Amino acid sequence: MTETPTLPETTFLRPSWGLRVRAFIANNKLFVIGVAIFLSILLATLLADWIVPYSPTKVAFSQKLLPPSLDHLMGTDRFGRDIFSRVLYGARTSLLVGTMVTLMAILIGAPIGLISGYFGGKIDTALMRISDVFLAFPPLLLPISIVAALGPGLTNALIALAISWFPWYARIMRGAVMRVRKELYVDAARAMGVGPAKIMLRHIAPNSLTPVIVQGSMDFGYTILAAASLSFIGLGARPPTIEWGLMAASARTQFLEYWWTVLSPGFAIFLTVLAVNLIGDGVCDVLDPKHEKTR
Amino acid sequence: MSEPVLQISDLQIEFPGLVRNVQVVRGVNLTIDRGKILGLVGESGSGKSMTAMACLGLVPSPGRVRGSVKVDGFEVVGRTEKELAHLRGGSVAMIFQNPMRALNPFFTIGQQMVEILRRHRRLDAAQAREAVIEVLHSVKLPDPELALDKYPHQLSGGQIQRVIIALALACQPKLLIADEPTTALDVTIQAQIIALLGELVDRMNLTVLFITHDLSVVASLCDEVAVMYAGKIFETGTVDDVFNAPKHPYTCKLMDTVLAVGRGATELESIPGQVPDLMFLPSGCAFHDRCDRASNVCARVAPESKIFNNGHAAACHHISNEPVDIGDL
Repeated sequence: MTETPTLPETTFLRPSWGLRVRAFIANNKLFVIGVAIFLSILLATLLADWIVPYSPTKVAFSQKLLPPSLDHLMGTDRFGRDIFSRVLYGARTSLLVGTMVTLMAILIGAPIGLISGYFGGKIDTALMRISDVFLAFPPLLLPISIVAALGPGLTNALIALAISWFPWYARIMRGAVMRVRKELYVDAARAMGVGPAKIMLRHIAPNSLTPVIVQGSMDFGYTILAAASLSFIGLGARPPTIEWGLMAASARTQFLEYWWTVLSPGFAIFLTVLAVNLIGDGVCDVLDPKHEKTR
Repeated sequence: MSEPVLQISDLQIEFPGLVRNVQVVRGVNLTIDRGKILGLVGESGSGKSMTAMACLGLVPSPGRVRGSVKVDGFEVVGRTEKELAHLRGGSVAMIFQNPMRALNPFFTIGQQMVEILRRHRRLDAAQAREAVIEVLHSVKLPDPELALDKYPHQLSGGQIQRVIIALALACQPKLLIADEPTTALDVTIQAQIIALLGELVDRMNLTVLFITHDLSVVASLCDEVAVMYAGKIFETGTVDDVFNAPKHPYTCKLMDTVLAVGRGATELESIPGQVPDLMFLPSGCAFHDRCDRASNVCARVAPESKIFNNGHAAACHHISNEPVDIGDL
């Protein structure tokens, strides 16, 4: 074997970790802010048992409808329960809802889109017409009718939301797959004798997932809103489950005099959705392997 | 003589079109013997790449393939995907035109090479890594150990083309198909890659189908050459024969375009007219409306291929000197 001289163009420089982290933050400011907010919410939620000043279910009629103060950061509701504690515990439900619905919808939608886009033809037509049926309903009407059929409750609301959401992911995935399918490296892999299953899973799927993940992180916030809406009209979470939408719903009659009872859970929803959307915007750049601009 | 590594006979590839079917390849005959490099030249759309795809059974649907393609005696046309699996990347490997897009951007060079290698050879992970480093050494990629953990976008075009050549050679193919491997690279890198290919071919006794439209590359690298036009082979023969004594008017004109530059001409010679639309091919010889030797017969009858000495063949009614009769070939 001949000795190859080392040429300057071939020495790969690897910047230090500190530099890379700083460059990453500078390049993705909004993404980092989003992650920071989201992590604080997550942390507060996980540590709720130690943080909350009052039990979220402790009723105290003597303390009812108190405005925000140092004792009660977000005031109390009409049963005298501490709203701050309830918002923290409610985050558990809402984050779970967002995660579960988005995950389920992607897990159903992405494989459908992958198969549809890869094989095309009759399989594509069949799968896409099926998902068109779900897309034909107005956004909230479909989950409402599914929950109405399955019976109200948090689990059924999750299922209903996932069912009405998966066609979006199937569509997005299909579009991405149809683009990636024509890439040269897919042909090259085929020319190298790689089988169809492996081509789909290793060559097409990873390269088509970016738009799905971006859409997923955007939808995460929207599913929290949708679940809150379902709870608001009494089809989602039911008491004693603590959920932001439900909190806002049960306080709506006193909204004008006792604004904190509605605004507090509303603000929590707003903050979470904002954080997740910032992450969603940034994920697109971060997932792109060519994004690393350290020099 | 032993059996040729690649034998294409009367290959036809057709795509159903809206108005009528488009014949992209119209009766191609090609033979490459072991250890030879055949340069397949032709303008864009002349069917070079489709012919190459047919050698791997990779003509995209809804294309229909007829005729016969034999790789080392194995008939490719009409096989199922499963039967072709051992052929692809096993006995036939292919190098593509645009190296920057021929690797999956999601995985590192090493991951992709190990995957392909383990597919065709029984190796454990550590052995595969060793083997990958070895082939990367053989294509003279500097620092192979470092390059293994790089993503494709972190390497330059020339480096990636080396990786792809390494990938193609890793499974010790009998036939290597190179589809314009240097077109997307700049000139200095082109020269390096051509030199590398020439060296590897000598060392590994490879058989190569080299597709290009660069006649100088053919002259420097290939043993034989086939000139393709509108889905047909117009002229084949050894590089010496075809370049020194082209028989077909189209080849003559192609040579003129290069030679004029060599003689110090300041303007590029070109062949007047355009490549015919494959959907509406002229009757008779596809080249007749651009040819100055054309006569009435050219517009009516497609010429048969006539064989001269040394396997030199051309398909034209008006070949300058008459074919030499050397009996049956």
